[in-house]
Amino acid sequence: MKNKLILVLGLIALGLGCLLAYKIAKKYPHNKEMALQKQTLPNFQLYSQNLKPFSAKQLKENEAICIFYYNAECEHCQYEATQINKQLTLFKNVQIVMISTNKPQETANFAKTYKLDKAGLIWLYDKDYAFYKWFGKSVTPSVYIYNAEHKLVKEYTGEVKIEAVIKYLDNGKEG
Amino acid sequence: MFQNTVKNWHLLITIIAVTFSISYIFNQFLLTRDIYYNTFQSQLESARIDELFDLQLKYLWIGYLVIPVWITLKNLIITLCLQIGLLLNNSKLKFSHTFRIALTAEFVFLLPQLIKLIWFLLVKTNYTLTDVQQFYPLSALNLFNIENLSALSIYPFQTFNLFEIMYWIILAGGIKQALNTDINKGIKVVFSGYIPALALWLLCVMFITVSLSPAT
Repeated sequence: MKNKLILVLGLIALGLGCLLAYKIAKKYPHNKEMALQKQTLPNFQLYSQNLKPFSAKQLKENEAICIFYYNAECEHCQYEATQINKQLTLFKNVQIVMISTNKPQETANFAKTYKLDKAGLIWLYDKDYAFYKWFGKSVTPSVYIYNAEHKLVKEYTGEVKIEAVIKYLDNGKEG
Repeated sequence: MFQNTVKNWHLLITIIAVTFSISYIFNQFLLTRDIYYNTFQSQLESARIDELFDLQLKYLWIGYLVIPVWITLKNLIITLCLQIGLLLNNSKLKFSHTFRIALTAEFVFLLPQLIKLIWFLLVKTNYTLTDVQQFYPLSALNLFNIENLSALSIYPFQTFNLFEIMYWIILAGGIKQALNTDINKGIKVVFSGYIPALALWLLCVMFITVSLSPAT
């Protein structure tokens, strides 16, 4: 009886070990590929707030891009939105792209609450939860800073102060 | 060393008390507000760093509460693994006796904690939270430049350290003594019971890392 129990336990452990090893071997190269892919602005396909398709190609060339991946419910994202509003002038000649899975009405409320609705930001709707296809796994908030050549100069995971973002936008311009 | 002169719960309480004391000194003298500033000032506003530090202070008690639960659970699981190793090698040992061997060997893991404490208190006094998390004395990690390593390999390299090997030897020695046999039998029990479980644990941690960390 005891031998049978050990055999079953051993087989379960072996099966679990093989499954985990297989998953790791599959995920690791994928993560590396994703990290490489976003080094140049990926040609993402999202939606504008009136549900029309919007691709990365519609962004201006030769101008830096700052992508904020956020969620209206997230406290850190709300804090970041307040900071963007306070220091909007620092984003001169920068395309600010706000991407979230929030529905258009929620986005409109968010933009209005943080007085960003008339700030000339580009608000995109990740209707199909597809952001990860171009940028890999991301948490909210995440910030991706691309220079005028649309090369990634810095990526922040989690909340970030606006000065830290601006610093890299300036570096991007110099570069 | 593994005789019944000291009760199991005495050993357990001693390990918990020492770990608790080391954690307390760590939290009081090493994980200070300044270190939070060192770690986060390039990304967060000062007010937010203060909030983060205060939040950490508020929930510090949870960390202390976890210590006895974690140590007890870990040693019970290791005892179970050793029991499986014993069964696979056609040997028998009382659960309480095996638990005593696991607890005695556990003392070896207090050494890296103490070295880490002394290292950051006296040697490397300018550090960040990441430095504290990644430092493991006399481990394979020290042979590499961490910046060149993927997040995936940090934990396995930390786990492969001199203290871990000492732990295996003490476990094997304990089993040898308890069974009144040769060290080979002890090593066989450790390698058939404990090592596969450790490998499985490493795979679990690596899987969580590769799933959660975007930059692996």
